Amino acid sequence: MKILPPTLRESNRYIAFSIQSEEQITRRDLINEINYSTTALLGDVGSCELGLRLFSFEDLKGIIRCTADTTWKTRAVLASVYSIKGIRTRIKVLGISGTVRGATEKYLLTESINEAEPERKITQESIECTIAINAINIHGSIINYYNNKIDLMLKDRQYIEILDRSNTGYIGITVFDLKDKEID
Amino acid sequence: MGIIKRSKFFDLNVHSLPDYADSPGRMVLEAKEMAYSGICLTSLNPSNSFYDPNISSSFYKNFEIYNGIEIQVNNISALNKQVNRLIDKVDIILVSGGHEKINRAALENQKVDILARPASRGKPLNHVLAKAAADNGVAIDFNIDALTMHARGSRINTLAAMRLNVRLTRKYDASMVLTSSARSHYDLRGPREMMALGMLMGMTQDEALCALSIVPQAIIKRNTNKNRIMKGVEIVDMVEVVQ
Repeated sequence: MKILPPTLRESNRYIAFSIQSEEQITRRDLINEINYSTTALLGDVGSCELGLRLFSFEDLKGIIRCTADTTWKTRAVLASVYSIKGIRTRIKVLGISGTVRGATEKYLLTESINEAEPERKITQESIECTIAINAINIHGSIINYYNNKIDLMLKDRQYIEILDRSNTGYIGITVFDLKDKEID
Repeated sequence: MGIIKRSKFFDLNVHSLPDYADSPGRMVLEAKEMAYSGICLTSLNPSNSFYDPNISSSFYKNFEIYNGIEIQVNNISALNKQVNRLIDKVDIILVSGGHEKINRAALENQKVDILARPASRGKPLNHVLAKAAADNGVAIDFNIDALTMHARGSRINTLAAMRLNVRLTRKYDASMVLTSSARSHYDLRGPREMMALGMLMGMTQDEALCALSIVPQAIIKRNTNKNRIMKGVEIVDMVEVVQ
């Protein structure tokens, strides 16, 4: 049988994305969540137009395919993801390209070379630190430390309602907020 | 695409630590990574001391940080009192709406900059309020947290009200603002994602771009202008007038 001629093929776009989350996400959970949020936002008819398909997904970065004229809708679907299996998550679109190779070379490979993003360290012995903002002293142990960003686990239960209000597990601070400016 | 690349984006409603779980610095860092040009850190409690951007200015170079307040009150007299008290202290005043009386009081007050979440209870604005917003220069806020945090029933109601609000603001030429009202850095979205969500609310692509870059810049320019006294009244140099 002859293959489908190029003029009749669906024209696709490939979206490179990265994920920021509190814990590791598996490929299966990500696919389920994207399917769920697509049907919740657009319904069955709308989601069949997108033709979504997850290609690669490694180290919280990946490529997803959609049809060429629905890139804005796909962005909206990816933006409406709130959490995956109860883990707070944010999907950040790095860029859109016409080929898988273009998306990989432009957005997935270059970033790791240029910025030299250090590996996300999960510290075994929790290092403690204290910050003071607006006369509130927050004391906690460091869970994640990467790219000047720190996720802090609260020690005392005093400010636990702050976490409940914003529905996250950890307090997010930066290196520049710390009092003594020294870690490790 | 060229015009989107050249634009400067601003998010005028971002919450931080005394109220919610992320420090101001973390929010600024995450917003800077997402290619925003500036954010407004809004606090809910007027007695909070406001964030001082000069502390670490070397790191946050090329990034504009403004202080704002989101007023949450139940009656009109308390609203006017707080607006009059805070107008000199903060850069941007937002009023958290939802109730019909509060919506009206905020839109008829010229000192208010943005009415946040007018559609949060599923009730749209009407033609009188949209006209008042256009006359008094109050921007109407379209908040993406209705789309990201809620689901099913409440999301449908809020989205339906927002679509009508878009039609009304377009008809009466009031200004629209897209904000995230982020409670942690997981709630922040990139500028193009915000535009995509705005397009689900019934905006065109140009309107969404305007709501994220041109309108916020106009609000910031208006409020940081020291010579401005009120709407239509401005101190002008005598030399300029003579020439």
